[in-house]
Amino acid sequence: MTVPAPLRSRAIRLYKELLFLGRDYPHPQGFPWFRARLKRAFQGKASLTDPVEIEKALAHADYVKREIEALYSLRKYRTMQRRYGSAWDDTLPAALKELHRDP
Amino acid sequence: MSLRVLVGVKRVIDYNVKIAVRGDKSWVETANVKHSVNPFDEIAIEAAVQAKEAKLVGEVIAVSCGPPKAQESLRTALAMGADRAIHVEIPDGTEKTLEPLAVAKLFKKIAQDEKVDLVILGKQAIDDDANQTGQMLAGLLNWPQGTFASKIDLNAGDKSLVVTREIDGGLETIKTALPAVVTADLRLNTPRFATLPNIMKAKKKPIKKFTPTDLGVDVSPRLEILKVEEPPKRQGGGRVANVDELISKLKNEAKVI
Repeated sequence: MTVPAPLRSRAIRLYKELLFLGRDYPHPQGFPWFRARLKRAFQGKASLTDPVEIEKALAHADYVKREIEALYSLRKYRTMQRRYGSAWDDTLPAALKELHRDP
Repeated sequence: MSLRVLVGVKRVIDYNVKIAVRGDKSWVETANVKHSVNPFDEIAIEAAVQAKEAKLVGEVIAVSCGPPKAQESLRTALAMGADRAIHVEIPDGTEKTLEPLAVAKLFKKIAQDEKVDLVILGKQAIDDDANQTGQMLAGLLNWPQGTFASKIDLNAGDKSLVVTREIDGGLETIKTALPAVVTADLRLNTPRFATLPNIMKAKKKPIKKFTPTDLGVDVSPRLEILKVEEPPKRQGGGRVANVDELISKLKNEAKVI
């Protein structure tokens, strides 16, 4: 049984977006490490045929995407806060707190 | 009538890169080094785009003064939601001598030509940390300024602006009329990501190109860079065995007692 086309294209789109995000992933082995892991994660789900299961996997990929974006935002904010921030107030801005919260 | 906002975008060495000084001490190493949009400028772009999404602003124009590659930074600004961009191109390698005053003059000309109501800039760039362009621009235009903004309340109706500023030990709130210049501080907002689909879409948005000569601005440097040096390396600490040794070290080596 083949996977319905809209799901397939959504999976490919998510994969590409995650690859793009991974270019800046903070890991000693850098992008190749990220790409290998990402590929494995997607390949592991390649045999799924049940649309409900696929939706679940896509939702997970979307969640990972948002987590990586949150990680980058926090990293950048914390570095900038350390270099330029005010000493009297180092509480996290509301938008970042929102990002950091578990779904 | 809807408001028009100009935002400044500077291409700088990425905040994550460890800066290395060139062998001849003329400048820092920029070849094969990752560059990105100045983080404070990202905050400025986000502020303008949020105001547009809240329908307070009609158009957001991103401007960058820099070498040909500054176009990449403008693409990022367009992907974040700016409507169009203006690139004031200077030859490769001359960006280190493009001083805040020259940039302020270029922005002044563009702000007048485009008839903008508000200019939002980052408070400073993370490469030269000058923190001058916004203030100089406000001075040249004779517009009010709200620097180090951590909150902006725009009122499109009576064309006024309330800015909360980060000052030493607290916050200051000022109200001013438009047109005005605002510079963004770190806590103004959290910039969104330029996502892959948005970057692709941004390729269709227009970028106008000028040279400083087109705008009638002289950008020749007024300062000369004599040398660029790394800060002295931190000396490692040592342990002392007892109080006597500590006292003798303080007396004879540190010479503080």
